[in-house]
Amino acid sequence: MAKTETIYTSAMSAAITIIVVALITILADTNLAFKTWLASWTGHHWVTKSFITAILYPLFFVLLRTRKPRVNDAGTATLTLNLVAIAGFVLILAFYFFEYLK
Amino acid sequence: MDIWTTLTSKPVLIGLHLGFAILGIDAFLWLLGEVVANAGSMFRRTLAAVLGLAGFVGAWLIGGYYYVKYYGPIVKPIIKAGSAPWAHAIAMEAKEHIFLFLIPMAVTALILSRLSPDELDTFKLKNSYIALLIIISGLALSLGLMGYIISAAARWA
Repeated sequence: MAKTETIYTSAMSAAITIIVVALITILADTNLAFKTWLASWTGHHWVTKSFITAILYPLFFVLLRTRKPRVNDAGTATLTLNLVAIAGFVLILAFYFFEYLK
Repeated sequence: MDIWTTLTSKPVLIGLHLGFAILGIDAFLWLLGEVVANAGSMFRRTLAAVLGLAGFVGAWLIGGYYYVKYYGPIVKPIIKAGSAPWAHAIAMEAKEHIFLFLIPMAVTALILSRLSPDELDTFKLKNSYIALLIIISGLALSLGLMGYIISAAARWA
C-alpha cells in the first residue's frame, strides 16, 4: 500500500469516526433511551463511546483500503479531516452550551 | 499503602492524566516545528509522533478510569451543587467527547510523519499536515483549559 493511500485511508477513517462520535454524543443527550442503551454495553455511556471510537477507526481503515485513491486524494482527505475536527469541536461545544441555557 | 492503591488514588490519577496530556501536546508541538522547518530527520519526526500518540492514549486510559471511578460518583455532584454547575454541563461534557477525536487524528499524524520533507512537497501535503498538527495541539490545549475550569469549579464549589 503506497504512503499516500495509507494517509488517505487514515484521514478518511478518522473523519468518519469523528462524525459518528459527534452524532452519537448529541443523539445520546437528546434521547435518554439511547444513552441508557449505550451505557448498558459497558456500564457507562462514555466507555461505550470510547470503544466505538477504538473499533470504528480501524474498521473504516480496513474497509477503505479496497478503494484505490489518486495521489492528490491524500491532501483532500487530510483537509477533510481538519475541517471535520473543527466542525465537530464547535458543534459539541455549542450543543452543550445551548443545552445548558435551555 | 501498596503501589496499586497509590497509583489509583485521585491526586495521582489526575497528575498522571495531566502529565500524559502535556507529553502529547508538547510532542505534537515539537513535530509541528520539525515539519515547519523542513527538518530532515525521519527519526525525530517519528519519535515526536509516537510520543504524542502515546501521551494521548495514556491520558485517555488514565483519565477514563478517573472519570468513571471518581469523577461521576464524587466530583460531579459537588460541581453541580456548587456555584458553577456549567463547568460540568458545558466544559466536562464537551471535554470528554471532544477528547475522543484526538486518537484517530494522532494516528493519522503519525502516518504522515513517515513522509520526508520532499515527499510532503511532492504530494502537496505540507500545508494540510501543518494545519492538522495545529488543530491537534489546539484541541488538546483547549481540553486542558476545560480541565482547569472543571478542577477550579470543584475546588471552589
